[in-house]
Amino acid sequence: MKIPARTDEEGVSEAIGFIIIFGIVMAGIAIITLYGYPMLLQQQSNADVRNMEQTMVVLQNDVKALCYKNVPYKETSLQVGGGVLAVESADPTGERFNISVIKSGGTINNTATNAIIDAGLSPFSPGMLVYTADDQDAVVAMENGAVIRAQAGGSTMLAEPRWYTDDDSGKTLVINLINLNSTGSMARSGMGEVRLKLMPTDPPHIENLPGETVVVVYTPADPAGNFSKAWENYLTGTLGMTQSGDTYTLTGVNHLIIKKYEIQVLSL
Amino acid sequence: MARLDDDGQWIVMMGFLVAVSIFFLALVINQATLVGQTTAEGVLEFPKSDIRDFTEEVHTLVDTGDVYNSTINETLRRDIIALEEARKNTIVNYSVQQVDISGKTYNETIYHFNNGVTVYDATVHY
Repeated sequence: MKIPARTDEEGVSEAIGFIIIFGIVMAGIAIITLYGYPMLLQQQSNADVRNMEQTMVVLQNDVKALCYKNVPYKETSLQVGGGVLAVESADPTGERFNISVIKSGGTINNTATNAIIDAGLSPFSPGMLVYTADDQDAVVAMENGAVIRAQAGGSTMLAEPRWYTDDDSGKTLVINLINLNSTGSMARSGMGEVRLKLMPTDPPHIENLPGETVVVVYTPADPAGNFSKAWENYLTGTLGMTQSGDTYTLTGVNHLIIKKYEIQVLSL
Repeated sequence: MARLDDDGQWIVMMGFLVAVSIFFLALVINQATLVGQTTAEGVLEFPKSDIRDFTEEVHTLVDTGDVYNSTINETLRRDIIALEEARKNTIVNYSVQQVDISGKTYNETIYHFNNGVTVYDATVHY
């Protein structure tokens, strides 16, 4: 016997169907609220930090123009989103670099070291332009000609400063120190204009040495702004210095050239 | 009894497909912010005019008789090196000597230029 095909609606409950569909809709809303929205905010915050990294590289180029291309004044409009950009003036008790010279026998070369100290080049506190993100643990800083990104537990150098060696007539080490200062405390969120001015610069300090060791000691600031890892990677990697703790050494230097630039941040 | 008419179901399906494609498009646009990150870093230009200034200065010295029997004016050489270091933040060096090539005497000038980004070495005979 052939059973005629028919729409069998036995066991179908409108109420249960509604509950299932309603449940799916509520689950969807819950997932988006709990996971989707925070993820969206995180993405937004990441984009802000990434934008700021680019902005810092632009500012670094401004600083390069001021220091190396005889430009007296630079201004750049920028947008600071998702955080605050501030100037931290050079603080002699904060982050600093100490430069000294050691003779080949291991004793300190007092003449050269004292000359560097007397010229006001050691200890050197760089000061910095620093961006701190609101929603996440991220700091982007421009100090001493470098752009550094730091998080709790580490830091990386996004753009390197211009320290270099030249081997043409003996080993020459060139250290360019860039000091950032402002007259008062400045901070900015939103649209702003960074105005930078180069202060009068002394001629380069040159030490002619009979192949001695140059020592750079990096003293980091408080743990929140600790850029040790970034400087360690730069000094040991790019410059090929030897590290022990916060002390970096380069042997066999015949000419040590240290130049210090002072940049005044007029406004943010 | 009202017949179930499912002729228009493709409209629902197309709506669904469009929604999914917009979602993927959003992902692609999101990735686009990455482009241009490195353009700001592309400002490391070759210092053509700096090198030219330096070599022309040395040329002038060679032309005006700075070279005589392989000796060069050491004071002028030191001045040029000091000026390049102070003004252009560059380490330069040069040496000039007279060499005989195929019976002719040439001034062989060796240039060295290093500003930390660009290292330029050249040897010129003329």
